[in-house]
This record gives sequence, structure tokens and C-alpha cells, in this order.
Amino acid sequence: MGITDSLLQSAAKQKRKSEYLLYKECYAPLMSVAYRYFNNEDDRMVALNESFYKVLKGLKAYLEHNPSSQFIFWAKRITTNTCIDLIRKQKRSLEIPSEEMPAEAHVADLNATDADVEELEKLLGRLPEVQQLVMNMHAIDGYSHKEISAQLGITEENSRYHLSAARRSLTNWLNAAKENLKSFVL
Amino acid sequence: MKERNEIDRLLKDKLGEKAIAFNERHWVEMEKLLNRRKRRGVFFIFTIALLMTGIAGFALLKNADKIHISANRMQEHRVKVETREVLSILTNDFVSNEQSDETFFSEAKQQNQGANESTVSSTSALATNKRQDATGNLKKGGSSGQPENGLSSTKNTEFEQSKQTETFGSDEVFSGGSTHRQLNDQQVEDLDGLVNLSPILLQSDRFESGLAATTDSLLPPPKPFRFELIGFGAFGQQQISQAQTTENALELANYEKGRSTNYGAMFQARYKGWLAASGVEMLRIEEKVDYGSFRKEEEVVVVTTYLDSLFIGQEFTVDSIFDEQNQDWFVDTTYFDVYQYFEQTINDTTVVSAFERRKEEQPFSQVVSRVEIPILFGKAFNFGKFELNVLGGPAIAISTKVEGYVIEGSKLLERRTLSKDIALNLHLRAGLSYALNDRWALQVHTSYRRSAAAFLKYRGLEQRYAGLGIGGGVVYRFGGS
Repeated sequence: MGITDSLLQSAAKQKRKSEYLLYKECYAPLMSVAYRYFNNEDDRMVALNESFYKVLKGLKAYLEHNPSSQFIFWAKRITTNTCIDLIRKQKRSLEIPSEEMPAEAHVADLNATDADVEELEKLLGRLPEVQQLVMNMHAIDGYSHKEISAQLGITEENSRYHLSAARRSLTNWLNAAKENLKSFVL
Repeated sequence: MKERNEIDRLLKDKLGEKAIAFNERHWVEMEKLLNRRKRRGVFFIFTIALLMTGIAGFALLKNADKIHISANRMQEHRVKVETREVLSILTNDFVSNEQSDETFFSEAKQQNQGANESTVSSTSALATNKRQDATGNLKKGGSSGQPENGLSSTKNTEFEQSKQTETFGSDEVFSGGSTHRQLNDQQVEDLDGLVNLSPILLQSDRFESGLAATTDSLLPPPKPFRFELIGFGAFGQQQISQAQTTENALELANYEKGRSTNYGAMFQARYKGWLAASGVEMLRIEEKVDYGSFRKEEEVVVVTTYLDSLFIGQEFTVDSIFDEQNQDWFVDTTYFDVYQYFEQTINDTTVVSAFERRKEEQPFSQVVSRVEIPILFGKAFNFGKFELNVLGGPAIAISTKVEGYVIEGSKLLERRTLSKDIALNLHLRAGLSYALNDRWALQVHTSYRRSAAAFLKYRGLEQRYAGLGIGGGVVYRFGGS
């Protein structure tokens, strides 16, 4: 069916059936955002539903000023922000002292483009929570360091550190996994 | 940097959007969230409605004196019947302005005729009102119906008929009314400029009504000297103290509670806030007690007699002893204490007190009926329509009947009846009254009464009472200058 103009208009009028259909349409893209930020199934559901609630609340105003074709990007942005808000509520401080920061990490040779989704998810899940968050926001959702620092309440320098550390860890793990695979084949 | 972007791109490609199966359980949770939102919405609307009602009521109260003051009864003072018709016509290039006006005016007249005939007091008129369309352009009906660009092929005939009836009335305290609005809206549209006429008829009825009470003082200034007749009723609780002396030294003293009801009428005169009141008040007290539940504290004098003793005197012994060495006698004296006992009677008195239950304890009921004639004086304090008054003074109380029953189970063991004992009482009364109009007022009051002397004397038994009551009444004001 897809997200149509009439579906959005009807959902904006709080028609329950339309709200359900829109929820169903948005479920996969919004849940995939929640998936990257939370490991727990219940947390994902809470994030998704809170985001969708905000979407419905602001839908009428959104449709007055924006094209409906951009709706899903707007909804994903809301979901990302909601996820970050929820994480911020759980964590008191995401800042690490600047003296602990290492130099810019060297990224090893990377030939891991063929890594599958599950493996990547597992590796991403192994990262410390803050690094995982910064990686998600910067690499996938396209936030700048300035935006990340504003959203998470950390300095830009701190954000860069977390990103660098995350990249280094992921690269090392991917390379190590590749080496293991080679020795197993040989 | 390229390598860094490589891993970013990898994550974005692989994890950017997953194919996740829809979970129905998540929608169930979502629905709960949405239902809470709806409940909040209903609460919000209710709160706003309540607020608006309050504001409207307040505005009505503030302006109640400006609306209408005519009589004490609600009356309809204004009936307005209004019929309004609007005709707007847009013509295309194929029809001249004059022709189109005539055609559509006559058409509208015919269509309106039936409706107007049914309304006796309605007026019929054709108007060329300016109307504003959705795009903000001014459209004119009648002779100036030509579209501005001259290219429109839309022919739109529209007329609207509405009828509004308002009924409103008020007196000094209450005001209220209703509005009925009936709307008939008929449109005939030829959207394609050909002959496809699509008549659309819209009809709606709307009723509004409301009632409000005012506290604004619409009364003339109060007269300094006036008479008032007050009818009232009250109930309360009286505490009855009893004391009894009998031949066998057993005494009864206790407090019991009884329910009281009273009603009466008072005549009150007031002069510049000072009050003097007198009247007749019927009082009935009902009590149910365990007769002689406790004996009075008994004093017993115990006299104890015993002997006491005392010591007086000294004894001595004289011995003559021969001294062999000196060959002579000498005298040797020895002293002794002598105890003499004198018997003496001593009386000691001790008081022993004790509470004891009477063996013949029995349930007892008593009903006291009295007529009281209070003579009260006091002061009134005025706060707009409200008035606080405080009165106090003596009252002559006559027991019309005092009936006592000693009951064992359902068996009446003893019945005693007394009547026409006269005693003096003390009355205090504080009341708050609300003036409905110049003559009538409602009053609530609290009162305190206390026996200055025993109201019942019977075989050594004396009873007094004191207690509080609360009541209400109606005040009728008359006369004065």
C-alpha cells in the first residue's frame, strides 16, 4: 500500500484505522533505527512507540508545511532523537575526561565490505555504549560532531574520540575475523 | 580518511534499514498510549468547557443588572425573529449580467417563497451582499457578478436563509434564556459551464440555552428600622447533668447526652444593625441512659484506737561497803534508769473512697418537652446580601412534660411524669443570613443553651442541661422606615 497522502491526512485526523496502517508502514524503517540504539526488545518497543506517538502528534503541523514524500525521513529523525533522549535519561554522563583521550586512532587496512549484517550488528554491540551511540549517529544517521555534542551533552572533542575509538575497534575486529576465516579455509 | 569512510559506508549500507517483521504486540502497546492521549483530550475539553462556563457565568453575573430588572418572576422580555437571505451569482460570458440577475433572482424568489410563507414574522429580501471566497477574492452578486478575469465558466447560484429566535429573561437573582438558529443553505452550481446543475441543500438547527444566578446587589438600600419574623427549626445535642441524694447515702451524679430538636418563631426588631428578639421556641430532648450506672464517690471514716507509752525518772541503790585495808566503812551509790509506762488512747481517722456499680442498674429513657421564651439582644453585621448576627440573653423555660421510663427488656417497670416546672436558661445564638430580596432571607444559625437552674427536681434528683444546636430558617422583613 505504501505511505500515501490520504493515509497521512486520515491519520492526522486521528482515525484509528489509518493510524494502524501508518504504524504498520513505518514499523520497519523506524524499528531499524531503534534496533541500532537498543539491544533490549522492550527498550526498542518503547522507543518506537514514543516516536510514533510524537509523529502522530506533530503530523498535522508537518503536513501543512512539508511534502508528504519527505515524511519517512522526518519520522526517522524523530525516532533517532527519541532514542537519544531515552539513552540520555538512562545515562547521567557520557563525557570522559580529556586527559584519558588517546591520539587519533590508526585505522588498519579494511577489506571487510563483505561482512554480513548479523556479524556487523554483533561487533557494533560489542562497542562501549557511548561509542556505539556516536558511531550510529555519525556514520548511519549523518549527525555532525557539533550536533552529537549538542544532543549528548558532551564536547565535540569527546565525540571525535568516541568515533575514532569505535572505528579502530570495529576495524580490528573485522580484520581479525577475516584472518580467522583465512586460516580456517587453508 | 577514505578507510574511515569505508567503515562508515559499510555500516550505513548494512545496518541503515533492516527488514523487520511487524509485531502485533507492539501495536497493542501503541494503542494503549493512544487511548491515554484521547482520555487526556477529553479531560482537556472538559476543563476548557468548565472554564468557559465559569467565565460566561461570571460575565453574566457582572452584567445582570444591565440586562433587565422588571419583576420577581421570570418573564420573556425580548423576542427577536430574523430572516436573512443572501444571493450571490456568478455568470459566464454567455449570459449578460442583467439577464442573469433577473433569472436567478426570480428563481431564488420562487425557491424562497415556500420557506418565507411558513414564517409569519419573517421578512423576505433579496440582497447582493459581498461574499468572500476561499482565495480571498471578493465576489459580488447581482449586477456586479462579472468575474474579474472574465474567463471563468463557473455559474454558481447560492442563497442562504437563516432564522434566529432569542428568548431571554431575568429577575434579581436568576437569569437565563435560549437561542434557536435555523439555517437553510441552498447552492446550485454549474461547474462545467454547461447545463449540469447540481443543487445542494444544507439545513441545520442549533439550540443554545443557559441559566445563571447572580449575587449582585439589585436590592434597594436597607431601611434602618425594620421588623422581622423568623421561623426556624434546629437539632442538636444536649448534655444533661444529673445529681441525686437518697436516704441510704447512695448518691447519683453523672452526665448523659440527649438528642434535641426545636422549632419556633421569633419576632425581631432591628435598628441600624442592633437587634432585639423574642418569641416562642419548642424544645424536645430525648435521652436514653442506663439508670444509676455509677454511684457517687463514697466517703467512709475509719477511727482506729491504740495505746501509746512514755518514759519518766531514774532509780539509784546505796550500798555500805567495809574497807579491810583502812578498817572503815564507805558508801557506794549505783544509779539505774527507771522506765514508767503510762497508757494513752490515740484515735486515728482514715477516709476510704470507692466507686461501686449499683446492683439495680436498669435502662432508662426520658423525654423532656419544654417551651422557652427567649429575650435576646444582639448586633448584625452586613456584607452585601449576607449578614452575620450574634444574639444572646436569658430565656424562661417551662417544662410542659417530663416523662421517664424504666424499662427491662420490653417491660415497663416504672413511669414517672412531671410537668410545669419553671426554670431560667441562658441562650446564645450566631446566625448567617442571605437576603433573597427586600423581604425574604434565608438563615442558618448555631445556638448554645444552658440551664441556669435545675429544670427537674424529683425525689432528690436534679437535672440540668447544656448543649449546642444547629438549624436554619426563613426571615420575612416588613414595616419599618
